[in-house]
Amino acid sequence: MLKKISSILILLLSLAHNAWAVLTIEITEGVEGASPIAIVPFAWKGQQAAPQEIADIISADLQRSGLFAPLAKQDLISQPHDASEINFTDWRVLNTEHLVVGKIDALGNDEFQIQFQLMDVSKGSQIAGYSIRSRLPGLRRSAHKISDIIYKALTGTPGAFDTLIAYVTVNQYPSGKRKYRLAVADSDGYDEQIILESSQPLMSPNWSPDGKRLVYVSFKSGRPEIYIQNIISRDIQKVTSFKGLNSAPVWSPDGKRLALTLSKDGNPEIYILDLASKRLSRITRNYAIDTEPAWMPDGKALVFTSDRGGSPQIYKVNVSQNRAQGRVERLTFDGNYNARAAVSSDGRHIALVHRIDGRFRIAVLDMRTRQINILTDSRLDESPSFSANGRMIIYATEDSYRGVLAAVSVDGRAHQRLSSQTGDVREPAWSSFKSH
Amino acid sequence: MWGIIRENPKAVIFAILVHVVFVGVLIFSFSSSTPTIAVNPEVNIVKATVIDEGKIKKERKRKEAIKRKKEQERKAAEKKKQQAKKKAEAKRLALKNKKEAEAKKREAELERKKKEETQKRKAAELKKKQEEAERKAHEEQLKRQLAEDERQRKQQAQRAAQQNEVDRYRVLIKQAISNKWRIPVSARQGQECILKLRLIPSGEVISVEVIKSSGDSVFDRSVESAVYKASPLPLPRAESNLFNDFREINMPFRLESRN
Repeated sequence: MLKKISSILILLLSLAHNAWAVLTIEITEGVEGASPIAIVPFAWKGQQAAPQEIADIISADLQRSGLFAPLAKQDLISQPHDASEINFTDWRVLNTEHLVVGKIDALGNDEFQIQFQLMDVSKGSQIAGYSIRSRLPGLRRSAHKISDIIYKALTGTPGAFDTLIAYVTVNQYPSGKRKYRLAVADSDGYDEQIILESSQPLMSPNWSPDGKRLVYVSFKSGRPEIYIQNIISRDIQKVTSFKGLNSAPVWSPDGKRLALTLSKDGNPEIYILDLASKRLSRITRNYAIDTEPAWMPDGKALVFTSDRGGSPQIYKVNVSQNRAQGRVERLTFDGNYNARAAVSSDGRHIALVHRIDGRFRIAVLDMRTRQINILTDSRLDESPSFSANGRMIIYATEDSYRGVLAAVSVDGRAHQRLSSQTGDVREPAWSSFKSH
Repeated sequence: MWGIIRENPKAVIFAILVHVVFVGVLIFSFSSSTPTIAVNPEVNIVKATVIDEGKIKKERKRKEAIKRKKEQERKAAEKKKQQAKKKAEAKRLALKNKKEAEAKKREAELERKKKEETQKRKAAELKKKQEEAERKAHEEQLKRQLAEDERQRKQQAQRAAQQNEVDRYRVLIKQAISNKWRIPVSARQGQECILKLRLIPSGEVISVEVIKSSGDSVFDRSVESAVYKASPLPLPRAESNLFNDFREINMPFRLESRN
């Protein structure tokens, strides 16, 4: 009887097997890492030499993100400029996942038409195709825009290549005089523009959310004061000039307030300044030093550095207008030095300077796991600042006793030195998405 | 004893009296019978002493009478003896007959038993034969059953082997595709896209259809791309005839964890 039942079962099962024969294979794991991409030099139709190597700029941008591994120029199998010219099999052999082809047409009067296509090599189909009109001085920026389009199309996250960085450079002359400069450049460090020059120290530049103004500390009157400057019109406006310290100004996400450190009441404390009303509200009340505020993306809390626990650590304070206002929470517990916090735009990560074995490294605190992940390994890394999409961190480091800028991806995989600046470069600040 | 006497003097006296009376009666009865025994010898003695002729004749007659009587008695005894002999003979005959009848009866009984036994033996033999036949039939059936079981077992083993092979290649395909799936940075945990793949016997993926989109084009493209990059997929040898199992594959891509 049992035998009968079992054979019936087997029969049923085999019938079922035949009936629902579609095999199911579930994939739950994949690889992470840089995706191979080929950016073929864009065709240039003009009398003179090409004004910019658009493809090189895009390659460098994508490389810097850590998410892409652009194929070296000499490894390009062929140089198509249009989807119709692509032999996908060639690119598959090279394990290339994506291919960018394009051309630049000169329209006269320093105007250009850039056309490009982003192709999926495995499928042999187009993912994105755009035509961008650009003027000669804006060609680099157009290249960054293309990088952003490619980045967004392939990662689903907005790119932050078409953004700016601000930083301070210091040049010491043989006479002993020093020159401080506030500079702004493209996110790759190119196209540097000097916004302000001073013989007195300039410090702590920070971008307005609209990317049009900078707030910084200047000692031009001999003592620290906070100024706001429009980077296009170059107009300057003094914001605070309290007795004692006026430092570490940071713009709130809504652009209406500044968080800053003042010692007008005797001890460095965190304050919030309402820019329209000039009303000042004190956030911290502690005998210890509280400084270097940074906004959480919702504008309802600040993180800051305090040595109230005996060593500099990162704390978070609620600044929303409710009962929780002023509530302080310590965020870092690893090591005896965690300072200079910067918060990613999604609030998931806090970049900070972490001291380990007497060296200052850039580290990231994961706000979900509360784990600190050290990203850099130089001697003196400082002033981390997040890219607008939260994927990259720019920071100042040392190279032969000279300050230079470097970038690291938030996962620590991609490291890049930005090397076009001269002098001692300090305190980089990365702008939000450009809106102008 | 003495204690009893002392305690019941009346009873003792009564008992003694009873005994005395009893002994007295006994003595009296003996003394009253003695005189009759003593009289008869005196009479005999008187007769023995009388002798005369008449008496001798009488005596002769009497002796002859006795002789006749004795002859008669002898003849009667003889007759009686004859009769007894006859009787004994009859008895002997009857006994003999009885014995013979009994013997016959026993013989018949024996015969009957013998017959019965033969019948029984025959029945037993028949039964044995039948049983033997049944046993053989049973054995035959068992053999058939075993053969059938063996056939089924083999079939199952073959099916299991095939299933093993299918499973092995499922794992290989899974690995091949996992190795090629570059997870987008923007991918979220739990995001899912289901593809339907169509293969040709060389393992080449000839079509990929999104049967359930994740709603995120970057994610969907990443999984499609993974399949194309992994093509041709590993398949069982052509001789295994398993290609039908792999002709179409449903392939859900689901991100289980995100670091």
